[in-house]
Amino acid sequence: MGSPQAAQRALLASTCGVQWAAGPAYRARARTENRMALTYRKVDLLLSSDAGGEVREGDCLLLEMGRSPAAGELALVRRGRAEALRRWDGECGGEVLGVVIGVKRKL
Amino acid sequence: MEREILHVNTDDFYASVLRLRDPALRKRAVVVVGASPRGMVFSASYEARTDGVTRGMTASAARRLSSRAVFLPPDWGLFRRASSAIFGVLRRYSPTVESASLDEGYVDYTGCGRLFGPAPDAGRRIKDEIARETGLAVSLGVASNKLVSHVASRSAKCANLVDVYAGYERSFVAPVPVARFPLVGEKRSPALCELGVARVGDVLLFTEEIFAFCFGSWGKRLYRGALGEDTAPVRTRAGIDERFTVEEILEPDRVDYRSLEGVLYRLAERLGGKLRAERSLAGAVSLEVRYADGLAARGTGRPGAQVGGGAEALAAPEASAASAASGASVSDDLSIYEAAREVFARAYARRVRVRSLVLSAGRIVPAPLQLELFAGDRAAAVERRGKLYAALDRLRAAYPGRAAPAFGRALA
Repeated sequence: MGSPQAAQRALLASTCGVQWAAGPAYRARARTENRMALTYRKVDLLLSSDAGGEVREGDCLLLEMGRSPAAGELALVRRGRAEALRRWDGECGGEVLGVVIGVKRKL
Repeated sequence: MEREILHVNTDDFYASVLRLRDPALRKRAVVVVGASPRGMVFSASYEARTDGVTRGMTASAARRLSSRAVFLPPDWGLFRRASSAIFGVLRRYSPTVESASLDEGYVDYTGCGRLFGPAPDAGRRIKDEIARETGLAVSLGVASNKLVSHVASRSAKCANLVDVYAGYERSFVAPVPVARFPLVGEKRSPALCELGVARVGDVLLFTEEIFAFCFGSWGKRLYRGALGEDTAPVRTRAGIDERFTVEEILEPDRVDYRSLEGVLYRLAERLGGKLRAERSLAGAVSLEVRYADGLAARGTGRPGAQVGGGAEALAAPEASAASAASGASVSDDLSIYEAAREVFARAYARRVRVRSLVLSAGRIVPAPLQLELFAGDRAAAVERRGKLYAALDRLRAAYPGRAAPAFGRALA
């Protein structure tokens, strides 16, 4: 028997084995829920004032992908060839590219 | 009120400071190593890192990997001066500034927006002022807590700012590899990888109870961290006063514990002399143990806490009476030595030769001039000890060097 920590980890693995044994579909879904993909998108031209001064031209938007925005969240939306920031109000006026969770700015 | 925490991280601090001293090093790979042949890499510039040089590697291995790099010993005095200049700028923007290390710190910007504007704008001004006054570049992370702002500033490299909006902390930390998460690090990540936890978001596949059961309080903190939560406050610590810092570089390097304690006592004597000359008392003692391989260990202690509240110490009477449990403000050699020795026992944990010891006094307060009206036995003892040290200081000034009177333990 190894160290107490190793024993605890073994116990943890066996306890969670039930979840892990649920198969790759469960694991994939769980990972999607807990590890949302983030991406950076540079703002060349700000097409909307919905950002309320939080986002400026030249900023990189930190976008959370793979989920639809909740009401009131700031989202990057594509309409035709144009991309705009929208404060989400439940309507889908275009394709949602991601929810804005932060910005990266050159100092 | 939503907290606003800035994490300020100096880009390539050690190499950049050495480049300020010697502009010929600009655009060259710089590696800071211990001076001995088997010294270890303390810091590597970005250019050296592209060659594969990493911190903790032996100097000989680093030389093999990067033949173009310039290898330099650390200049701690210069690093400390650059660090205090950076924190001087940060303190203009908030009274609550915590120094995490020489090159990074936290600023609690909560409520300061009315004075300096939104945190990202203050961040730009901070960056400009630091660049103007020190020539160093910084990266900033802005978030609602210390943990997420730390992760943000790491992803902001170089000379960038990452602002994580409140409420999205969990989403922001989820894709971070566990080895790069501040709460985990390289040492603990293998244990998590055994469980299939490769990224911070994977921690949330388990329940908090299981993590707390398996990893104790750290597991609980990690789970809360994976949720993007951290309630730790920004703690202001008194900065190191250069006037009350003494250093002894050992020649040759030493590993013998008794011998190092002798050095420590000599440092305590010098520090005590400086404090008494300035009519000041120290409420805290910091010790830095610098190893021959370039690594260093630090610790802080309170004098008087381990010697019965400094009852026999040259201490401020009201301070020692009021704070017997938490330590007292002192200036006598013995109390400083006792505190430093206790810190040394904690900090000196490696069987590696020691290159130098740096002892500094913190929480400086002026020595009281008012005599006690009802002088008891304790006050009389303090007065006697004060006279003894005053006489010793006069003798040391009159007969400097080896001729000065010294306690036996200082000669070990």
